[in-house]
Amino acid sequence: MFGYYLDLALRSLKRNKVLTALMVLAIGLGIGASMTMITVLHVMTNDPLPGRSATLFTPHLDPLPLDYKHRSDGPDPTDNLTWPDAMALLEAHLATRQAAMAGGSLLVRPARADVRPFRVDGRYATADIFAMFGISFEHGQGWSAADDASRTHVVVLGETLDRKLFGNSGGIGQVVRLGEHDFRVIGVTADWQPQPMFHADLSAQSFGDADQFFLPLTAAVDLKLPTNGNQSGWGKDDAADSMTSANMSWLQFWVQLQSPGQVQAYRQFLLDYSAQQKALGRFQRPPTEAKLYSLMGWLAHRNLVPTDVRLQLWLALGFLFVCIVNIMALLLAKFLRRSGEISVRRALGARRRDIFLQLGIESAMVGVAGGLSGLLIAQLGLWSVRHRPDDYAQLAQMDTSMLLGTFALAVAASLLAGLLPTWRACRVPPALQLKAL
Amino acid sequence: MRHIIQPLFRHRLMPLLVLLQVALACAIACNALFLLQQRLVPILAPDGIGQPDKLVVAWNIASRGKPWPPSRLREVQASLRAIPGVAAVGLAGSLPMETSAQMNGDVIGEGTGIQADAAVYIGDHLREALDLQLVAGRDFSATEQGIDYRDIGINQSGPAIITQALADHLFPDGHALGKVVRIGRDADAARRTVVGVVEHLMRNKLEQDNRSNIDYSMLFPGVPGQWPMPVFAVRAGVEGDAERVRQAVKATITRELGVEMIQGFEPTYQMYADMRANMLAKSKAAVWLLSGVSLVVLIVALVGIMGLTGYWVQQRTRQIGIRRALGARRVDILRQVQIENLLVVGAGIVLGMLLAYAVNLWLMRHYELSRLPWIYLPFGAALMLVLGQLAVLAPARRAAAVPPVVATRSA
Repeated sequence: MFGYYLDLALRSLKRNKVLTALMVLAIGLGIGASMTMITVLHVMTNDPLPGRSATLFTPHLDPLPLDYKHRSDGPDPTDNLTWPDAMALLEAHLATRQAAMAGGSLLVRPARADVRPFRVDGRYATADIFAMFGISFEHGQGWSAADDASRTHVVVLGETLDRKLFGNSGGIGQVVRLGEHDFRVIGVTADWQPQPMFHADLSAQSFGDADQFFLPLTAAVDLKLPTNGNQSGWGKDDAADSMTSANMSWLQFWVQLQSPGQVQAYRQFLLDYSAQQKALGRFQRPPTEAKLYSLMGWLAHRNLVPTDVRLQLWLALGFLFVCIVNIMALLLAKFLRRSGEISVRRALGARRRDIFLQLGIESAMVGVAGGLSGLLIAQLGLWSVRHRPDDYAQLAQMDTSMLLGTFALAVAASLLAGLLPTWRACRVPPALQLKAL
Repeated sequence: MRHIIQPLFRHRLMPLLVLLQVALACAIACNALFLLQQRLVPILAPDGIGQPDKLVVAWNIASRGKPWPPSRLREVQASLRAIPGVAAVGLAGSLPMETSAQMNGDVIGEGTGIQADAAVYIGDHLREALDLQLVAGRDFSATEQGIDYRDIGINQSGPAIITQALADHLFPDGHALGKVVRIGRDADAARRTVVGVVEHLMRNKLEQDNRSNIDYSMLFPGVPGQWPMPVFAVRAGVEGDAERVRQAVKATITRELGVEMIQGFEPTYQMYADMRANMLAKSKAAVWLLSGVSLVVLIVALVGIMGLTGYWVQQRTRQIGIRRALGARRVDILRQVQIENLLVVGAGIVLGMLLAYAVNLWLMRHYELSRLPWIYLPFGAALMLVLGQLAVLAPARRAAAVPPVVATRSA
């Protein structure tokens, strides 16, 4: 029976090619536009570390003075930690793993004369970062807490930079000149590129290339290496060393907590720490300002999706809705024109549900064809998104789930659109129509 | 009229679907066009820069270590001025269409107390280099231009040139010259005396909604100190070859400042026209997107109305035949279908306007948009009415062509 209905649907759709083409195009445009924007939103709100993200948390404190006025268009200073706070959390050692970090951009001066100096982005961090984020090593290993303490000049390179500097032989044990200082290579990581870059200062960059080097934060502070995140200072500053100042926030801090109990304990620790700092007179705001965000919670809090993208998503969905109503109208006209034919089938013994199935299949066929054209249009849309001058543009690619989603959405939309016309056509009274034939 | 309205209520589904389509198309098109108009603002607004293809801008110049002192930058400015074919050289902290460094702030007109969010451009010989049109007052004097600020300069008092738009806003009585503008709300805020008014000068902070304040800018004379990213604006003379000047600017700045720049951080030497195109690329893309969506929504609605009305007419062929046989003229039938459409589309528009307004209110609450100007509503309504009449034309003519003899056929 199914094959027969399929054949009937094909014949019916062929009968009026222009109308069919219009319906397929309308649903294709609606689906294409929606899927383009849904895909963009999907990549922007992606879980950057699937499987691990649930155990990662980022603590936040509020060391700002009471009279600090925050400009609404500037970054929030409490998004980052100050050096003394980060060191205190590090030393408390209450989480399974914990690391402070900051992004930096350094000039690499290759030993080979034929390569000109170039700039790479990397991260200054404390020892736990590799184990905590699950950054895998191609060769060698990270540094130890002892290296952190002694401010050793060691570096872990990303695979790409390692290959660029040392070719296939690898750079372990070699010396790299970063900025004005020499660092000994002790490890090479596989390129680690979480998107969004949750661990970076999100006000500086949220989507981008992999970190190409990691070096001990203590050494970076010792050498006063430049950072590329936001540095917010307040109050009177001892300008001698702003990096270790208690009045400047610039560090990102992450902890790994395995159980809900541990999370609860850490939250309590942050409150206690804030209360203690307040008692000491360093903090002025209530200790309840201290917060512990989960990884996905943090991304949601920072809201990386630009207003433009959200608006365009709503626009696309509204457009899809218009298309659905349009197809509903066209299908209604199409089905009711065939009242005579339907009545003959009914008179010959077809039940209402047979008619319903027949017309439902016809609607679904429009949906499948619409899905195909929608897929093409969405690819075109994503191609145009990739040409936008935004940092997320390069990520706009469809994965399998989005591909299947496109078809599911298209068929669902067309079935939804076909529901009312089909139901209406089933209720055509056969006797009246037959009389009119 | 009764013979037009009553059938609409007897067969509710058809008119209801048309009504729904019109309402949805109306709501979406109105809001999309409103967004479109906002994105068009920076593209259409005059930036005030004369002959953009004769202006070379050197920016993204960052010093290693401490910022260059103004005296050092003035030396570079002098050597740029010496390039053959150069008419003027401006040295500034920031420029329009360059957003890596901005100075923005609330300024208050003294006496009127009116406040505005304005961009501040501080620099030497900027009016000349940018070729801004003075409409009142004078350009800065040589002494004023010669100020070297120890700090950025935004908190220093002195003279200022402001745009006509800002002058009209701060001093509605029309006499801005000689008045004082306070930079910021603090009691010890800097006070700038307006010495000149230029026709236009676009700000370099572009937001979602810049309609009123896009032309609110101030110009201060002098060279900012402690400013990490100086910008040079080099204007080629009338006969000067702009591209050759651009190359010469690049060579000169590389020679003068190259070794003192942060390494691996390349300065940009661009024609102002290209800079503007880059800066507006995003807005232009959005304009294409929004106009495309609005157009397609309207076309989809058109097709839907056409399809439905076609069926609606076909179904009533016999009734039309009877009316013709009873003496109705072709034009009566034509009018009947058209008026019917007008009524349904009209009802759809009323609903659509309410919907458009609701959508706008919702967007306002979530996305910092401004209110949909009421002018969109009659405009959108007229557009939808015309569209509805267009859609119904073919079915109406088909209906009018029904011969009276149809009525005599057996039913």
